[in-house]
Amino acid sequence: MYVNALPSNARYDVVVVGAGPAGITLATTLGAAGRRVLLVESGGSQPGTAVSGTKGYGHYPGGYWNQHWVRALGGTSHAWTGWCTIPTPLDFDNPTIGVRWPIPYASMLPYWRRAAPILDHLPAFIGYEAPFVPGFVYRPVPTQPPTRFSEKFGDALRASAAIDVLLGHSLIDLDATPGRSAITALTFVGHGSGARATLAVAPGQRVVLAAGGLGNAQLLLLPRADGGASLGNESGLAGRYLMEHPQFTLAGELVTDAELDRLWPAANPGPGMHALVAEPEFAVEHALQGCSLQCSRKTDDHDMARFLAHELGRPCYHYEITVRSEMRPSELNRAVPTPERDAFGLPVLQATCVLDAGDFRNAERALRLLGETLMRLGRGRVRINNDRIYQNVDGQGHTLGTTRMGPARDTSVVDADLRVHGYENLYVVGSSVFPSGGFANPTVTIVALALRLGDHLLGQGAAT
Amino acid sequence: MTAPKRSDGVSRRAIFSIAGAGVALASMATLWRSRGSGAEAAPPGPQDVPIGYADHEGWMVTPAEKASLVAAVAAANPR
Repeated sequence: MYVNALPSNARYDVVVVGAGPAGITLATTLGAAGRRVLLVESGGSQPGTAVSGTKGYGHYPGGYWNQHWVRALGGTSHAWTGWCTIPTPLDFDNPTIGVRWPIPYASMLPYWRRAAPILDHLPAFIGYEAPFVPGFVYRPVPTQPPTRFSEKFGDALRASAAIDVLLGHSLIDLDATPGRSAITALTFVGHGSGARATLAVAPGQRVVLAAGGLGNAQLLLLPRADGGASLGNESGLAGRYLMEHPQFTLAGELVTDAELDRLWPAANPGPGMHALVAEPEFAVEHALQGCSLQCSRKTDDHDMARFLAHELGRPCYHYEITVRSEMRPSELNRAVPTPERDAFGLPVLQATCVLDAGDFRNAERALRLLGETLMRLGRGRVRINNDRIYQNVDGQGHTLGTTRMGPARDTSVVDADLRVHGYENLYVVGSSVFPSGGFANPTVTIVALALRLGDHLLGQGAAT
Repeated sequence: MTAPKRSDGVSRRAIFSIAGAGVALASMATLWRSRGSGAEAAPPGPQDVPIGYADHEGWMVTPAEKASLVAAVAAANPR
């Protein structure tokens, strides 16, 4: 049910801060199991005009991050384009970038499959791959119409007796035990009234931050009245390792005798995009970061397609390639709070995110390796557009890594159970916990992690 | 003429051992100075070894293909 103010006498098993894909998935999972949940969202029932005011620096400057940070019931599902693809095993353990996720890749597969129907995708095609050439596999990217979580779950949340939904309220302060081992209180401010209200958190109750890629860090960077370290940021790493997914639009072209449409899984009605991805062993051998070569069919009446078809004696097809890839995680890329407050009463963030030379070379290298492979095999030719790689990088609206997951506090903010190191009842879920970005669109993994956290909080899943 | 005898009492084997240890220490020091941080650029791999392809307007083609393509363009655009 929807509530207008913080209930004074309710006792919740879990308080979820943020009602985007992660928060709603977690709340409905817990509510379905009979747990009492308070779901708090700083925005309203629909996206409004107010933005978070983040100031970007580096390759994603100005108001870039605010375009992809939706404060409303449904969160970033309002901005999601519907792409659904999961990481590869390499993305969970890539020696090239020196990052290993603290959870086994295989343990995530059931959660990705459970996440797919929540996003109105078909579980059978989660992780679907088909052979292409040695070194590269074909990886279709289904692009169903995007699921808006406010539309899909709004009525269920309204009808739920287990879940209280409080809109228009921001978490502005946390309190903890003297030893900072547990959160003891949460203070919210209502945007309409400006009234503050504090909710006591008793032993056994849990608090989950599900406020988005930057929002989670923002809450762990809330200033303390005594000037001490922000609660939950004892590691000093909250806000660090900010990542995007670099996109190099039309960075290459491909002419090949392979008609990629024939590789699309027949049982999936689509629509979707074709993509070629390096096989893990090949990627490690060639020091590749996560990278997807997305291929769009163009006219076959193309000079190179006709030339190669003549040379090979069989039809050839022409594709444009957009490279979607991974940033090397760096603690220098970080969001820090400023003294300024945004429209939601929270500190305005300054977000620095700079790609390094290797991130650009990775895109070129992946194209070059595909080109060399196809030349050796007599299967096609690749064109590399350097201007598009080195001078036209864009992003995909994915905000990753600011509360990274890892085995210990000196290298990460949350553990494999998504619990903030050192706290018994404070959790974080969302793309902010990704220790590396891979190339895959993050939404299905965000939802999968929320399902996994739900199992953990219900005592049904042991992540560590 | 015979070589003068060593008078310091240090055997040849010991000298070789000391020299070997010195070389090992120097090697370790070199390795230590040249070590990476683990977060820097990846070491060059076999992908950085150029293979025999030519560039034709950005396309990776064989040298023979490039010659053929250039000739085709020239034939299509006679002076």
